[in-house]
Amino acid sequence: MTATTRADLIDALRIKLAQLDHMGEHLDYTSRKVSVRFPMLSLAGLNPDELEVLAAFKGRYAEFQDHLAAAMRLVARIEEVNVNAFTYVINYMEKIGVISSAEAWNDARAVRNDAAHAYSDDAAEQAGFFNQVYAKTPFLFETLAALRDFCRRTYPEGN
Amino acid sequence: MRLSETEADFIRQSVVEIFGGGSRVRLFGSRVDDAARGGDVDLYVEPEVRDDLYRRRIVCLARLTARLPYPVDLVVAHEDAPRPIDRIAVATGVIL
Repeated sequence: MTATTRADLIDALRIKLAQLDHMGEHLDYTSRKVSVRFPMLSLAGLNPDELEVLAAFKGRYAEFQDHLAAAMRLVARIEEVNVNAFTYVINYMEKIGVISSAEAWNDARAVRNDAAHAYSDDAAEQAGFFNQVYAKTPFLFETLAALRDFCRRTYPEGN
Repeated sequence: MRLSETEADFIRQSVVEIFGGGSRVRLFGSRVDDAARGGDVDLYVEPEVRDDLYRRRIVCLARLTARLPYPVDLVVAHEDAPRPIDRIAVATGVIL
């Protein structure tokens, strides 16, 4: 990799981390707003405004995780890790301590990919979906903090 | 059935670990058809353990998705009134 390409990727990573900070603020805001409802047993009885907040929570979780994955892929590219399959990126993130385990990431990802369950006709499944979104949100914040720490140490500003 | 024996073993083992030893898993949908091509791996699980069911489903889905080279969907059997998907899976599925 040329020095220019590496510098461009690091710039792109800094922009991505700044975006993640904003998204994280929004996700944290919504997570706190809905926290009194968890753990949920059912969505039955919620009014349209309350359901809208839950929809925002689901969307912000998904968006945050997507961009977190993009930031992780950028780090892997800078470090010249094979990024053809995201599994390689996940394994590298585990190796450098950004994620606690590949399994934890895959679980959080499976929730994100299962968003259709928010519209299940089974009240317990709907509640189960949102309980998992709520339960996995701290993991995403921990992952961003660890990724930021790795980037601060590895790509110091001004270099 | 278009799954290798190794893949079927992995699915069976994962389901038993996550949903309990008395659980049963069926493959249904296009992968039952030897003449078809591609397609998701559609699984239907009749769990022994039903507490915290959605979390178990997510853990199982994550494990299978990480290992199998195909998209995976996993339907958990309803305890009470069967839905159309329950009837289809039981009628057309192959127990792994």
